[in-house]
Amino acid sequence: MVFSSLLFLFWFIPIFFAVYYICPAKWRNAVLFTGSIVFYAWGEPAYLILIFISIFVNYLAGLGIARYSDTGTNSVKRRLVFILALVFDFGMLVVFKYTGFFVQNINGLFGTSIPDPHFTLPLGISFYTFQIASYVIDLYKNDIKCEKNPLDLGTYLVMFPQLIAGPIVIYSRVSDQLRSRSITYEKISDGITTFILGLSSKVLIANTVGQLWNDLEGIGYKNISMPLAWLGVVAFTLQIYFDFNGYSLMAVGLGKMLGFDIPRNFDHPYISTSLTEFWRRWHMTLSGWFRDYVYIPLGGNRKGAARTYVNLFIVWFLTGFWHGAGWNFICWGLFFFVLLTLEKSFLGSFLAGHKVFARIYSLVLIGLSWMIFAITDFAQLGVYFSRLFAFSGLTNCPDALYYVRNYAVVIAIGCLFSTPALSAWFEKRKNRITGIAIQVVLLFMCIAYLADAAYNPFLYFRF
Amino acid sequence: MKKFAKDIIKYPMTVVFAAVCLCMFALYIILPQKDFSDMENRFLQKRPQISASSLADGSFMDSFETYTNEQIPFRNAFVKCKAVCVWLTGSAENDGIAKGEDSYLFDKVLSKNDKTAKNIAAIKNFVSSSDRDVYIAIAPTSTWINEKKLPAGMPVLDEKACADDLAGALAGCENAHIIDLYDTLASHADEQIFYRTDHHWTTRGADYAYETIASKMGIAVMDITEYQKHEIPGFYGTHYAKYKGIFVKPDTLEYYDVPIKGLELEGRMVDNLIDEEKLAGYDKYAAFMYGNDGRYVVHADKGAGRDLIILKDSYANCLIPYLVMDYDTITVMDLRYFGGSVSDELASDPDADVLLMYNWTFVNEDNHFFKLTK
Repeated sequence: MVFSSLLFLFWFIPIFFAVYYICPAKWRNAVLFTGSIVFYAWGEPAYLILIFISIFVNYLAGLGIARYSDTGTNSVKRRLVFILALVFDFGMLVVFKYTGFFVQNINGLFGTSIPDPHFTLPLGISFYTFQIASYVIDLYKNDIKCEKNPLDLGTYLVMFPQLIAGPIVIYSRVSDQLRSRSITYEKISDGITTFILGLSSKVLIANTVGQLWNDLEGIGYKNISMPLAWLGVVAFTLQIYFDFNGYSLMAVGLGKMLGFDIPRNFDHPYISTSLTEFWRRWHMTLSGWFRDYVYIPLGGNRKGAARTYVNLFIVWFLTGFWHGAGWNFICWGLFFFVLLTLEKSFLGSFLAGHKVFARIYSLVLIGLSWMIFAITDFAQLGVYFSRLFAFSGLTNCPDALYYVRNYAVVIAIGCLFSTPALSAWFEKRKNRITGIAIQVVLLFMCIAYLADAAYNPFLYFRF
Repeated sequence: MKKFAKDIIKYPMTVVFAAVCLCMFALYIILPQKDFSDMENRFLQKRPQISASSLADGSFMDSFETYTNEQIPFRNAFVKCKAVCVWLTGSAENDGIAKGEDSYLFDKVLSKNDKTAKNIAAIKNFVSSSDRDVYIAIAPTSTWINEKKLPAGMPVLDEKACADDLAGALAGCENAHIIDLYDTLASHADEQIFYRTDHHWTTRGADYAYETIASKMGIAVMDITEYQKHEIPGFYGTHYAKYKGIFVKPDTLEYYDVPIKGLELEGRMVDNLIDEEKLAGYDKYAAFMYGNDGRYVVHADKGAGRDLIILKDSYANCLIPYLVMDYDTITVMDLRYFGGSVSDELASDPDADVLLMYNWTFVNEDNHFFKLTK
């Protein structure tokens, strides 16, 4: 099930929340667990079993790690349990997400013909694997206590707001709330407001500009003019942000309505003045996870310049690869490795001194990086880049006029809401008449757009 | 209770949101379900029955989701409201239909489908499977003909070039006779040869096509105006059903009373070419030849001494009244719904003329051309 659907709004929400609020607090985890299973199984009953196995294995691993102390012979057993749990968690991810990629590349490289099993990607596996890994790793580092109640651990893993597409909530952040959480009218109301803003981002902006990007694929990249190619960059840049931020806001909002404090995932990434800053504002829970569980354990920047660059390379290679089993995603990650390295060595200080240039530099490179991300076929990517710099098409571009006419208003609204310009204004009014009116209009517009939805994908469902 | 009211009043969104979600949920359950949407001209999914097998294979979940989308309370109002919002943002399009000059609505065809080559191959295969003469008429789309009325800059596929691919593929077959309707219709582009709100050509468009087809096939070009003409106003066609916006002028549907001995539909016989019941309904174009039966036979009342077999899509339905003036018996097959064998039909009337009459979109997108040689 997806949040931006009438099914979720008018069947799941009323039934689930009615039961959840009426239930005594001690049953709420059971209700949340059951509701989340229904939510997940609605679209993907077959892979439900993987989630149950994952809860079972990690629960036992947790008990094992907690049982053996980290001294003497027991520390070997402790380490063994820990490693087995990680091998299991990441093994599942590798098998289901990357088998096809590896098989194709091995076949291509060695001329073998190993059959590709064509696994469908289990919904949300990239996200829940990282979440459960945070539990096992933190437990091994003695940062947290072992979860004795399998239902609480299961609820943490499958909780529907963040199960499918994040934010990646690390266990230590919500462990207290799993046992007891307060639900107040203020929290519920805040949650609803956040949910409506997220829903609007997704339905009114992302889906709409997404159609422009879709049309470009239909027309064929080789047939578009240079201005239309750039308009396409703008459209995809807005689509992916409003899509993913919309989903994350809905998750945070639903979390609040449940009494949980789910971390924010985005902080106006497109106002960044460097790519380093961009990654501090974009998908913050993912970059935070890579920082805490890969970069710092590898030694971070404390082992000399050479080692720092190697560590950065590993992190960005993995970040790219996490986004998809394809070479273009790896290239996309390494694109950031190169630029972040340059910013670290000299470019950063230059950018700090030239704010206007820094903004243009950041936006253009972010936009271009999305092209590497969006176009999985390198030949097609080459065609697209050639159109971006095909100056001969600059004078004759009726196609761009048509798309500007159709999308200018939505793109302008998207650009405005990519900045924090109206956040403070709205925040002050969200419980007053102006704010309520805005939210009601947005909610009804979303319902209208969903009632007529022919196009409603979630970009991050592929991961 | 008083405390509750005092607390909740500080956070009105909780009340509003809960009210909207709960009311809609209740209305889904209370309101009667609709079978058919007049505005969108299609059947709607009703609440599915739950069963172990439909749960296991996920079909229950799929149909339930379709049900919630299609039976949403106040659906027409919501859908209309969305169309108006989209229009307010300045967009020429809604749901893939663009509004051009004079409130013409156009389908946006961006690219050649993968199926085009396959369909062309199937047609070639059919033609070369015997040495019988086969006439092939491909109708252009409204988008291609009315290029001047399109919203400025709207991308259009060079559909003529694609139609020429078909001619090129059949160049080696001596028994294939391509009837080029592109030039004929393009020369009348300033007349209303396509509906504003529908994807089909108008009776006038079919009239021009008929002249070309008849002269190419060597049959007399008859004058239909000797029969009684009827005009049915207030027709909102398939393109409007998707566009759903405001300020759209309806079309007027025209037809002539061409007398026949009988029209043999699947399982019944009627005595005229027009289903008058459908003229009163929403999809008025479906009145021609009673819609799209898989196979029907027109028995004309003149002794013309020639028979015709047509393989076609819905564009042919308003062309057939013209051909009735030239033939004794016209056997018509729509491969989408025809379950029998085309080869058997052809063998049963070896002297009949054979005409393939398709709209270009159909050649680009349909899946049934393989049935030609079945």
